[in-house]
Amino acid sequence: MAKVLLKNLTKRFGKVVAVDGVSVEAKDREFLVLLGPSGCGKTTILRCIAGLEIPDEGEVYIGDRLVNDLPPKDRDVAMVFQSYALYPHMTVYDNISFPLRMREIPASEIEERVKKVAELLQIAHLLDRKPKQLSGGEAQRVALGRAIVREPKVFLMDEPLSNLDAKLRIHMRAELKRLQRDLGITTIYVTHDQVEAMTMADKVAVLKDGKLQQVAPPDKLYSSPSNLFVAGFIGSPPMNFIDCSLVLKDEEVFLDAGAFVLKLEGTVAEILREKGATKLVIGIRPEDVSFVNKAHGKILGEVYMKEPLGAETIIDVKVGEYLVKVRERVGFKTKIGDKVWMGFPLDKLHVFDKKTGKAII
Amino acid sequence: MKKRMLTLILTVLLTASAVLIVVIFLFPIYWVVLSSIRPYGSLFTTKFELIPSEVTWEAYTWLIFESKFFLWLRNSLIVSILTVVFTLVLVIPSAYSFSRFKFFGKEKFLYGYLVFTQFAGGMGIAGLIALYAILAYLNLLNSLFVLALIYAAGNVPFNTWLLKTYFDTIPRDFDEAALVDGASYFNLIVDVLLPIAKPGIATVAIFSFMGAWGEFILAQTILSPENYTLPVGLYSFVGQFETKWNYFSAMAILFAVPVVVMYLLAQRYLQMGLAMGGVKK
Amino acid sequence: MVEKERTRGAWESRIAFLLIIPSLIIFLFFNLYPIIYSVFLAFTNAEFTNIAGRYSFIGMENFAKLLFHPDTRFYYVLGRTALFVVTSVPLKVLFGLGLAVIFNSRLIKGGKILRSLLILPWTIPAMLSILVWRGLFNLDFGAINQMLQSWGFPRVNWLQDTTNAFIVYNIVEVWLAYPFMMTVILAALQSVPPELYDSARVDGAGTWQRLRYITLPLIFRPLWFATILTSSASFQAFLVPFVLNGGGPARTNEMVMVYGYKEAFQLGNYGYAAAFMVIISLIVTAFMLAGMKAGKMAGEEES
Repeated sequence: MAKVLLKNLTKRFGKVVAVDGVSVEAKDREFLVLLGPSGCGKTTILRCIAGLEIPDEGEVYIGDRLVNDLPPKDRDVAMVFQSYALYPHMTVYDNISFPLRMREIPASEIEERVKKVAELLQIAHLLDRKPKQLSGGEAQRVALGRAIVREPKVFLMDEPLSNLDAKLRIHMRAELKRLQRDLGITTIYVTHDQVEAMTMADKVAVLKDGKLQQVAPPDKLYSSPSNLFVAGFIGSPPMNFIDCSLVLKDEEVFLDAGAFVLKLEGTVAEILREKGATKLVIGIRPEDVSFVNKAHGKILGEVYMKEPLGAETIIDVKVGEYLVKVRERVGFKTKIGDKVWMGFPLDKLHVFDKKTGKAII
Repeated sequence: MKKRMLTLILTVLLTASAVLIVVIFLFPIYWVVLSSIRPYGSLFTTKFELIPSEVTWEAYTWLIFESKFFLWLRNSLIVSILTVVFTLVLVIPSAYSFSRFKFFGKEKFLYGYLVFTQFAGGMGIAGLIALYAILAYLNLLNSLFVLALIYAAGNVPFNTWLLKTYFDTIPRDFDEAALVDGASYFNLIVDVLLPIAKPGIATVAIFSFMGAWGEFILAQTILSPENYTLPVGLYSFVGQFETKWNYFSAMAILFAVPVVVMYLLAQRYLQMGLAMGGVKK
Repeated sequence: MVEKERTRGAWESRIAFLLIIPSLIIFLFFNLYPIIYSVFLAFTNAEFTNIAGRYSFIGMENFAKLLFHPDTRFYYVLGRTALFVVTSVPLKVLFGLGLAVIFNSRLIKGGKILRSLLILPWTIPAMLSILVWRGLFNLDFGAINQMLQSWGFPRVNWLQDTTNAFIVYNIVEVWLAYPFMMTVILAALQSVPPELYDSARVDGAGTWQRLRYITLPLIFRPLWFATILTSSASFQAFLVPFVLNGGGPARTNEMVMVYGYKEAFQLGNYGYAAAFMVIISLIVTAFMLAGMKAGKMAGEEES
């Protein structure tokens, strides 16, 4: 069992900087998710930890040991690939036992350990099959088995669920999380799926263009995103963003979005006044917006489109040039084209500096 | 209803003509089989017999007890097996290297091989003349070992391409999974890559074998009678005893059977290997 | 760290070269070097008596003799070869195309088995097949003459008559080449997406129009390259004339490869033959390059 620590990790491919000075730590037994769109460098980080890439700068620690110069086989990590990479010419048994055989562990012990893992993953009946004869979910379990059997210090997982169909993915998500908790092995998990990240992680590291954006537990990431990118990437439907400018008039603070003006009060107003940035972006999550009567309304808009999802309905409301998404319970009666007033609690409002993208509130 | 009748008639007609075509095109093969089991005297009739009136195993007993067939067979086997071994030993490492490593000039080498496979044919006899001069100078004529080495050399460009493209289709995930699982480079190649590449390797092996088994011009040029391979031996036999056609036929059949059987057995492998190798022609 | 990356790169390069070197050396020595060496031989007086190393440089003499000597057979041999290309290539393409179209039909029962039977001759070593054809056309015991006689025709002296032998060359060449031509064309036909035919049918195209506007343009490129390859094979025909009757009778059917081979290995004029083959190689290469280029250009126009 061990922590994984990256210090100022940088990796270039030619002129492209794939990973740019990333520092992050996965504590012992922690489930760390590297989250980001494709090409953000998350897989490269994982491969640096595995020893499949050599970083140009920075340090990789596993436990307390600097492993930059160690070849993959000496790092005591196990990796689950997106394609599973099950050796097609070996049976399931041989696949799972492969890492043990490579370490010249006695045959009797190998058998025992493979059996144990197979039972744990409920694949004991598949041991004689070849990978070709497995379903997607079964192949996934075998790939997990091959990683688990070694009882490594660290699990590295590269989008392991992305080849499964939606239903199985949701099932495996929970099972994988459960398994990780029971085994208590530090896990670094790469995905582009924010739902996967939110549901499985103890801690999420969001990446973009090789740079670390924010590291936080899922709920913190959701409630206080540190910049526009994180705010927009986490949550579905995503946060509504509206450009506006700061207007100071006498003692009062306003946000002017063109189509509407918000009057701010209390600490929110104070912080903005102190910061002094005039070009701002306000963000509000769809579930924080509600339809209210004119007296309590802050923003007037026109219903543009309704997307019923069963338990709830997403309503697109046209406000000026923006479409504001609102999450409403079933029973909302308004028709397309109706004028509606919307309101939200001020403490749910996010404000970002438009120039730097950083969160102000 | 009318349309169905038409389809039926077309099916019958097309199938019948397809069968007829196959029969006509394969007639030479049938005729050789026929000739090998007819008595020598009955070859010289003026009447064509589709089914022989008289059958004898005489040609085959002659082949076993009196001919030089087994000498030639031995030589052919030596050359063909040596060729396969040399080709694999040369081609597997270089194909692996071309597929998995980055190095200076890699594209140029590969391109050079490709150009060579496309155009070297035109230099066939010219190269043969020079090769003969070189071998004569080095006193290396009439050696089965050298012959196999030359065959293997000729196999290098095309088969390196073939196997390289085959290796390319094996995802690097396998290499990396094996390395993370604790395999050394040696284990990686022997336990993981080679077994996965079996169809590609089998294709190379069978092509090399068939090529060496049937090659005539070079063998004819550098070998002396005691080292004749089957093609050269058969050619010399026909030159000397053309009318002993039943003897020739028996030898021809035994000569062709191994490669035809090999092809039929390995058809699946060959097609898979070729399809995966998909050399751009 | 950057330094380390560089050393790992260098290590990879060294291993990579180490793995390639053995095959490269063998290839260079036995394949590339002889070809370069043959160009050198073309400028020497190498012949039977001095081939093991005591020949000397004689400048352009071989080339002058080939091209300008009043008794030179260069133009006759080249003409005979060109004639063979002109007759055998259309035959091979037509047979290949015809067989491919017939065997592409889904209406044929057992088509797969029939197809693999039909390409069986491919697996038989070419020189053996040609020897068998030599027997088939034999004056006395050949099946062809026996058939002719059974049907009341006189027997024909196939291989000892210049024109007849040339006809036999064409027949044998077609028989040797049809499996390749058919397979290439069949693969091309089968790679045409069936939706295109459905779509064309919906658009109102008849059988002929589908052939003209969909099939032919889509198989043009593979067909063209197969034609280039098989033309080059015809131009370099060696085994067919050599094994059937040695390019006879009386050297009248010698193609370029046979002529070069005989000059070198039967008459011992190695230098002279090398000069001849160098010229021929230039012709073949130019021909191939032009053909490939034309095919590429035509292909680009189509697409």
